[in-house]
Amino acid sequence: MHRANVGSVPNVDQYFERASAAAAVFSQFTQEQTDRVVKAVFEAAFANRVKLAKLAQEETGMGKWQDKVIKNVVASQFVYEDIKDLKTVGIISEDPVKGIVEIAQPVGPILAIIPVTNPTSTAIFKILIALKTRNPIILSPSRKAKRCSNEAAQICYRAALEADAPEDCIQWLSDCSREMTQAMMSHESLALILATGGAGLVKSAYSSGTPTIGVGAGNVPVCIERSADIPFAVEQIMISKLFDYGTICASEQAVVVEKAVAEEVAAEFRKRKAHFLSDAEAVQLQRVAFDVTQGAMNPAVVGQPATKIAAMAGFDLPPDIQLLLAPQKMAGHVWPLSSEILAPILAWYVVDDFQSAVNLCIDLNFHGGIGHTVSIFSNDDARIKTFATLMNAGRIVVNTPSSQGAVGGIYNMLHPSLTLGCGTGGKNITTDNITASHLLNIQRIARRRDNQRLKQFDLNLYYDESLDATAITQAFNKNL
Amino acid sequence: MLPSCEPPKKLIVRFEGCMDTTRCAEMETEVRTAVTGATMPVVFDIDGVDFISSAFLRFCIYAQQQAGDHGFQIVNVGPYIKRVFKIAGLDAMLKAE
Repeated sequence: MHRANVGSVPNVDQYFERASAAAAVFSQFTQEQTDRVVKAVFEAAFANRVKLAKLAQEETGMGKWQDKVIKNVVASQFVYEDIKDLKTVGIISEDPVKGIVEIAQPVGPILAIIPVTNPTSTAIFKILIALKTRNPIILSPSRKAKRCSNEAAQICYRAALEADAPEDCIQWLSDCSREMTQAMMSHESLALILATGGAGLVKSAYSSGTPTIGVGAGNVPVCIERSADIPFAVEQIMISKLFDYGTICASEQAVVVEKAVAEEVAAEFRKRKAHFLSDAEAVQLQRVAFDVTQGAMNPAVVGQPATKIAAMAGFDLPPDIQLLLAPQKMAGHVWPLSSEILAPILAWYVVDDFQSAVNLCIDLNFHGGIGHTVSIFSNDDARIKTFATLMNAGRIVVNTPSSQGAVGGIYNMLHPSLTLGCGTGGKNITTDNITASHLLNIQRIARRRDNQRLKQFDLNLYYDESLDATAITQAFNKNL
Repeated sequence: MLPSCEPPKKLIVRFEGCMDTTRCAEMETEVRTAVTGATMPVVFDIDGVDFISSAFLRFCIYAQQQAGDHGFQIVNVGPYIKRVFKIAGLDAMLKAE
């Protein structure tokens, strides 16, 4: 396979020489040795959850450190509990009847792209799932979050070494330039890229020629159906959307309500310190929250509080306002606030009935969020299933704050993950919540188990063109 | 299916039920006759349609071509059918509601 020439970029080969050596040593580890390393790293990451959260908030200026603590808890405790009993070494399953034995093998050195929005939690998460599968990992942090991501990596690495992990099983890039990342991604010794980040970066990873597990963008609609418990629904949406000031890609982006319950929903939002924008305010907000030339959210508003964003837009709000709701009529490029904006901003839609709500949610889902996550508050099981069937989403969360619900482990039994697959609609290979099981090559021993029907079947019948599929199937299944 | 002119001067073609390959084949001549050389906006009203085949999508494309600058729209689209148009990349034909 052709690989890009990386000789002009210093140090790249050194990273992979070390990673390859670590992979070689790791390949000899037993399950017990591996699990001891993973436990030690989990404990170290967990012990540093507050320090790393504060560091991340200080360095990036995004979100709330308290919520970043929770993200670090999910990435360490919840992920650890989810993977700790998983068999990842040697024979992991045997089926004597089918004669299939499965053997887990590491994939090899992994390059982990770490986003600015979750710079320590994603680092911890990826390190844990890589070590659990005996894969060395190299972290490529965001330039805007290099210090905190690398601090998380160092903390994990020290703990891993103390638990007798291979040297260089965790590495991190000090040079976060685009050239360096490109060179790393296309290096022939790299086995897999875990690409969590913006669309450009994920596409770049896919284009490198190295197998990649990527993510897609979100644009999460939440449908409040008339059977929903309205106060509960609004409370949950606020919990989700205000978490870390909206930096999670699975957070709600638009609320779609039926006319019959719209007033009640609006009153609940107001009661919880949400502000409905006037038409003029919505236009002002649109200018600062969305970059029309780029066709994407303005990074300056990402993870910022509502009052600060309002001030940036040129209007003042009472200091206790938490969330901005922008009434919109439709979804699409001519309605910029119908797009994904990782901040405490929600598009607000009132529609005639459930059918109209589903139609609008389809539009929102297809407007930049295909394959990611959608949300519904309802107590009507038939409508929940109808909604789920019609959306293109890896995760359809029900009566749940979508930020925390999509990540898994808190409100449902999805695998806790900071890397959410979005299926082919999101240009990904899977809709799964990515976890340790995705980082293994599974070898299968296939013992001979003769197909008895074929043994008793007259193979000459295949050459008789007068026999159609039905005739052949009858002959194939005939009991002698 | 009954083509009819309703003010303000639109050719409205109504469909209902299962627009599968067989049904579309039965209707093909009638639909093509109705929309060929259209001199006014063409509207497909699909209220009550619960399945569309590739043949029906071809009707839509043909009607759009025939309507040209007069415009073509599909109205009263339920969620199941809307999704089909989304996947087919033909959702621009759907009336903005």
